[in-house]
Amino acid sequence: MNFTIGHLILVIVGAGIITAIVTKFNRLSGSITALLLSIGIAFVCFYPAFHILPISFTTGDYTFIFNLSTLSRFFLMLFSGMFPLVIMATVSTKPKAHYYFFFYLILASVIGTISSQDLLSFFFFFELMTLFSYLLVIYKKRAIKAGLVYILMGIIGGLSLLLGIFYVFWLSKDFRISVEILKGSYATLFLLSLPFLIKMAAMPVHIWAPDTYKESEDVYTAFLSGVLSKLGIYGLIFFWFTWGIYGLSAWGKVFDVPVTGYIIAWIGAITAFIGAVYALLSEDVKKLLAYSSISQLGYILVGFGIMSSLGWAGALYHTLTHTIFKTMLFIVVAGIIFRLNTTKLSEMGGLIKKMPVSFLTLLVGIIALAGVPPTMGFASKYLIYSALFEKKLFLLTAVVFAASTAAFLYAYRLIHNIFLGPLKTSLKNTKEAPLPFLIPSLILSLFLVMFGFFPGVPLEWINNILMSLGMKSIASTFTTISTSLGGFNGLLSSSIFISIFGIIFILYLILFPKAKWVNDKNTFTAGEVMHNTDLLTYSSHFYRFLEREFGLLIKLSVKKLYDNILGIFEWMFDVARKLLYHGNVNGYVWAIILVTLTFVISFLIGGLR
Amino acid sequence: MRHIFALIVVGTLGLGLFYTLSHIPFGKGLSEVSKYYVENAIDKNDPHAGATNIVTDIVVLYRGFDTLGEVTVLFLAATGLSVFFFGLKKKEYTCEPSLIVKRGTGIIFPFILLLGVYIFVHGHLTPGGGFPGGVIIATGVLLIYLCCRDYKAPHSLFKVIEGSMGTLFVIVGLIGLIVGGSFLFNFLGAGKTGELVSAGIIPILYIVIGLKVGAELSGLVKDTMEDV
Amino acid sequence: MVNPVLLIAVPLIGAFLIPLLSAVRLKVLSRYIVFITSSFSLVSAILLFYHVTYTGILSVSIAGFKPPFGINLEVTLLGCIIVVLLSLGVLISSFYNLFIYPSEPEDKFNIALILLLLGGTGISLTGDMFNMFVFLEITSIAAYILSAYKRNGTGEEAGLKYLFIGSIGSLFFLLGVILLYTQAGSLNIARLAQYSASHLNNPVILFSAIMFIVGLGIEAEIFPFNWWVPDVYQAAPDSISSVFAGAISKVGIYAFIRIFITVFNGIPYYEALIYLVLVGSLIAEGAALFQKDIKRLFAYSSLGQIGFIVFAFLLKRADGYSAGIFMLLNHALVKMLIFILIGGIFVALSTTEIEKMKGIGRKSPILGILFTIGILTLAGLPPFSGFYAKLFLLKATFQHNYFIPAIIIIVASLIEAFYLFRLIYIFYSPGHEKKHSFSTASLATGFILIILILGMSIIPFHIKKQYTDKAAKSLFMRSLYIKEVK
Repeated sequence: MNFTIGHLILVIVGAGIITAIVTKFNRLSGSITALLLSIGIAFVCFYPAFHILPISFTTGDYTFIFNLSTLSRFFLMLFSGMFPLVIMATVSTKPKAHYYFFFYLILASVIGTISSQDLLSFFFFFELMTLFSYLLVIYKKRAIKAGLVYILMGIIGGLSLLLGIFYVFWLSKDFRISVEILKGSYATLFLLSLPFLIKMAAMPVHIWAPDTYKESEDVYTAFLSGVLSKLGIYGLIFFWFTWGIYGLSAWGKVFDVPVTGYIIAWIGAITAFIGAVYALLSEDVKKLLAYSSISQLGYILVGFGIMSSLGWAGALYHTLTHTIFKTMLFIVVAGIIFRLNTTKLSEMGGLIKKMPVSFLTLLVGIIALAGVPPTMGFASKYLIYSALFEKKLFLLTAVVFAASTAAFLYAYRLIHNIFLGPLKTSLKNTKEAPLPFLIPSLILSLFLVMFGFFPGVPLEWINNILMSLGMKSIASTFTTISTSLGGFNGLLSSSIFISIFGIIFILYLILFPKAKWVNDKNTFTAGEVMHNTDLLTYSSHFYRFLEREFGLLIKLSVKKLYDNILGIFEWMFDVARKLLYHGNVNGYVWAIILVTLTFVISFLIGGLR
Repeated sequence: MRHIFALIVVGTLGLGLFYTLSHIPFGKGLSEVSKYYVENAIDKNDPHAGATNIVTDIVVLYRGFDTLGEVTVLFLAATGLSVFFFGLKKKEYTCEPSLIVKRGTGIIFPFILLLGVYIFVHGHLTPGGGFPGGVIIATGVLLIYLCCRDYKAPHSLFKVIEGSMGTLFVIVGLIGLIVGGSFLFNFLGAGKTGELVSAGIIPILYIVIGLKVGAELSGLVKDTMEDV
Repeated sequence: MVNPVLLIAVPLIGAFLIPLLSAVRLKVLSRYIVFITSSFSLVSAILLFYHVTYTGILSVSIAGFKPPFGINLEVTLLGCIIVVLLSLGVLISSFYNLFIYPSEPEDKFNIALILLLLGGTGISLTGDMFNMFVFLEITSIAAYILSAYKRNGTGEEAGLKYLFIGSIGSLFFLLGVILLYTQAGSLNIARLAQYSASHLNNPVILFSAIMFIVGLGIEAEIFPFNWWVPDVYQAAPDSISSVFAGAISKVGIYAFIRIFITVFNGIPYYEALIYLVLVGSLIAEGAALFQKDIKRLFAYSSLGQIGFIVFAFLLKRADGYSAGIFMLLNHALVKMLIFILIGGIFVALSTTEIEKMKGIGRKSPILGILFTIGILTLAGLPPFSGFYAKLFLLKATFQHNYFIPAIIIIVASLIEAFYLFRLIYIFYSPGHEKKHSFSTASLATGFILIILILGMSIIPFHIKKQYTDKAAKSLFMRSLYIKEVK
């Protein structure tokens, strides 16, 4: 069956309208409609017999071209595959009609963005996506302030994109993407990259991310952080590819890496590190995940910035990994928040027995986050590190490695503060998160583990992308990945990892056959009777010692810098306004006369000469 | 200092204007339009222009549309002033007007009215016209206010005249549109120049304007003298 | 076809009927007269527009005298667009007034409103310079009356400021007309255009152009002359602010471009003026950042937008003009919408202070949605028509190789986004637990405008091709205008 991208987008918008109407009458049936329709859309995008055809139309002197490249097919699968899983998690939160409407509109505009092959429609759908995601961010009353920062950063990005596009248009007299872009300057490159760096929350322009992720609706955060932020890396590849790596190399190379890419890699590394540090110092579970998201996207930037086929493979691989595990983590956390009604880590603890499934999925999630087999996180980290070693970027590697270490720490904190330790008295009656949260997270963790065993499967798609971009593919089989620096067998390493854990567990059972579960009171209080066991939970300021170490870093705030810059601009405008629009009619008349006088004088000079 | 500055400003503007005006040929024959007016209105080539003086022809016929606009401007200005006076308490006069004023007004008022009416009725024959005629009538009303402190003017009469005369002006124009194909067309023809009933719609329009301006300005006088 | 004279005659009859009615104690009918008159104007202007699309520029002489000697109306596409906008604005304002009565004396208010319509229509349709001055006077005086109508101190102050500055403008305009007349010997715009194209180095023509820059700059709210605008928009009654921001400013721009594009075929101190206008826009947008009063905020925002519209017309290109006309349409509709909605808010909260509007978007969802759409359109976000306006403008700017102006436009859009989204933030942030009754009149009028805006957003390219491009072309080709009068 054949249909065009236009049909696909219209169908998604139609699905949104239907869902909104149904939801208006009944919340639950609305959610189920949303779920069914989203599964249908995912099916349409995945089923190989359905061919999504390109479409282009011309109005006046504007031509709009929509086509799915190999790269955009990858992202299409990513977005449309994640969409029903996220929608499934919304079922138990019973959102209002416009929630689903905007959700579908976001999907439609995202698909529009990734299928646009001309600059104008790219901008159009990119801005639409920003707008609709903003409207969904402010769905929650508490997020209105965070939403303001979100949309303003989005608009800064959008306007920078617009200026860049017009700069290209100025050079090539056309909105189609052509080789003419090659003539672009550093300024164009900057203008065309900034919006995507903002979308990916790279370090100097990340200020919107922590608050937006923290305050927006919990399930939507999964989509916003897990899925939407990937549009940033799509945009970067989309625009940078048109320059070509060799074109960029014309501006010089550092360590065999194009200098622009090198800068991006450093931005990514610093983002990864600082994001991780902020994450491990966060007191709020969503904020922790938010900073984790910022940090992980930094890795993607590092891989991207290296500009080798290995680097881009790592970036794309990590894009996939991060999409899966970050979506899953946010969904799990949304389930926990749904039950606990709090996002503060200090108010959680000891939930392992109450929420075993959530614990399991979260465990898989943090293993993937840490980049350890038997999950696919290992393969993506492996590719990125190989790319770094291949180019001998050791300083960069050190920073990324430090970020990884910090990632271990906050990953542990996440699972410890929520699930381990003694159970809080206030949480005695907590139940397992509802099924709508558990099913998608189980499915996603299954994927994480499965691709951990068979890392070659995603790499095959990525190889296709690399080849379509004109780069070397990474040698791989079903289970192995091999690079110039060696390789690994996913099946083998994962099996070894699991066997080691199994052996340790069996050894434990054999060596300590009489081990029994000890009540927390026994160990902590040395026999003294404690009435408030909550005090035993060690969760607020978990890494206080690191807080001291990184004290200076925390005090440095980019936000303050932006505030100061804004303040200067405001002062300038205020002075101008007070000077010009002062409200005194005498002054106004004088101003008009003086302007007239200037004209008359220049007229006289011109006439007498 | 202020004065010197002002002087410089005015001087420069004046210099600019002077420089410009020095380029204007003065008294060098008539322009195209003026020539046309002279040929048609004075030499009576135009079957529609029938006033004895060229100014009236230009004001009411050639540029009658502008006159309609000017009437509207006056109407609007009067409206604006009455908005401004709305709700304001007026000053109470302490002393009574003298006997001479009272008697004199009684005698002179009909003559003032007559003069006003005469001026606008003969607008197409003599200098003057609707505007001056109306103003003279309003002067009469002002005089009555001065002599009789508790005089209440027939406000709704003023309004009726004002409104109906304005409408009449437009209707005359519309009749021209229907009869002659263009708005304010002189559908009555020029007639015999110099007679009271001549020059087509010019006397009609002047009567309309005269009454309208008179009523308007009288209403304005009333607004200033009475509490609204 | 509707005879364009009727567009002038009918509002005049309407205005003159009102005193008659109030004499017989039927003052209430006056608001219906405004409503009917403006509906008539709207319908006939649309009909006229389609007629002109097919026949080209239409010249109608008055009193049966051939154009250079008598007065004539020259109906152009752009003029029709302006009349449509103006009558739409007055119609919407009068519809609003049917439910929310203006304070006494209401009949005078309605007279001024009708005559505002009449004056604007006259300016847009006339083909005679002095006639344009007369209609400019009518428009200005009506505007003075209406802006000072709320007699609470600020009203009178604003009206007085407007009066002072506006009369300077009229004065300079008149001087310009006189100087032109001395040279060309005619007051007909087409004849003047024919003359001044071949006498560009005549200092008298140049001086009169300067006079027109000042005179029309004041009417068109162009930067160094627009001081009166914030006060007037703030102090005027809400429905009137809607007409001022939506339509009257556009009439001023029309007069400006008619004289500078058609008559002078360019503007003296062209380069300087472009940057002056743009810097003025930037300052106005910056000033809007600080406003605590919502009407004043949108007044400054209007100034910014008008700067860009004027800039588009200074581009000397048909596509620039087209972009300008598109922006003009878009801005007119949005500003009408916003000021009408502000009227609704004022009725409910009896304040225009932004800080006191916290949470009203959540209290009255429909108002919130309408306002948000208006703001998004104004901010130039896709898929709303404001985006296309910005797009067309930027395209024309870049095709004219103006890089710095484009950057200024982008920066100004950014500033705009800052204060506009701050408004959304305030509208939806928690506050105001009390339920308010928002006026249905303002919401209903808002709906009409929203439908128009959405229509423009859905078929922007069609509108550009069918309407604005054609209007721009007929504006760009001066010979079409001149040819009508021979």
